[in-house]
Amino acid sequence: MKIECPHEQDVLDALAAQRWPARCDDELRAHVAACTLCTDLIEVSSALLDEQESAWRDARVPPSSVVWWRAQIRAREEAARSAARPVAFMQGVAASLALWIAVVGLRALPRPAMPNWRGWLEDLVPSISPSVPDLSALAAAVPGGWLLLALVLVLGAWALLAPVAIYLAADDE
Amino acid sequence: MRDVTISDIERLRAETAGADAVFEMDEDTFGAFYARTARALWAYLARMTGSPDLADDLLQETYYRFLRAHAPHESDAHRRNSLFRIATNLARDGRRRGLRAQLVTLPDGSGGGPAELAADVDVAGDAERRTDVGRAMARLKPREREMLWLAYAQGSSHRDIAGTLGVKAASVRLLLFRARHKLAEFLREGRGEKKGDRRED
Repeated sequence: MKIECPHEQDVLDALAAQRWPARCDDELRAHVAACTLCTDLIEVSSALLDEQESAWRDARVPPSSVVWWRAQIRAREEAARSAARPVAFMQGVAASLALWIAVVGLRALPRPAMPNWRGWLEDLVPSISPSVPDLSALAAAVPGGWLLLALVLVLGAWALLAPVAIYLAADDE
Repeated sequence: MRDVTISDIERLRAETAGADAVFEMDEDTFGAFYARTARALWAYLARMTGSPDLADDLLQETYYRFLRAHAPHESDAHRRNSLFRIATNLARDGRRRGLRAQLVTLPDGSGGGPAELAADVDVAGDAERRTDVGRAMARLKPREREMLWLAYAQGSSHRDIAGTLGVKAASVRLLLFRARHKLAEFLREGRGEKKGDRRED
């Protein structure tokens, strides 16, 4: 199947120069009359050139300076958002750890010091909140226990906060 | 998109004066590139989405993404291809999200006073022809439309078309041939239907 004609470029040049059909030579006109590829080409190309011309006339383009400034402002806003994202994440991590440390610290206080708080906390987390002596015993029982404990704490915090961080990142996109 | 006033420009200038974002080119270079490409890009977006309003929005978005891409460009043609590739992807996204308006857009029907009667004759003829082409284009697949527009409205080379549309350069020739034949048939059909209608009248 023939998909290209050697005269295509001549036809396109004639159309672009607005020589088709009146100011073209007879040879090219005779060829187009006999060639289905060039007939299609004339049909499509002349229609689309007219479309391009009218679209060009109708084009509503703002000044380049406006497009540039809008892009600048948006880039700055996005940069500010990107910069704030890890800060917000770290604030979340710090807040979670501070809360956990506060709970552990309160539980570690002797019972007479803050009886009401301790009772309230024990009611709140009756079985899963370890006290400082519990943690010390646990760390002492295992070789490299404190390091392991710190690692567990970080992983635990990450497991709690990662879904929130992923949600915030995806939401921003 | 609403018109931008001088005070808007002054406000924008004041807002951006603090710290310029780092783009792939400076403002002067961008201005020259924009002058060479903006009208062609708007025409492409307007015809591919069928909506001048959507073309307004996508024009801004296209240049923004282009500036933020930081892609190295070997030549102006390469830069232009990148721009049109971004525009093509945005127009396709718009279609996927159902943002595409009717492809056949009729011109504004306002006016029609006595002084405009002579001009109306040409406007009506022009509008009719544009509607025919719009209808025929609407029957094509999006990629066929994009390809034909780039090839015959903008005069892009096969290599540029391949770069813009993300197809293999070797397959452009065949795809273009098929799309061209299809559109020519649709245009002839449209004219045939119209002649038939007139005879019946």
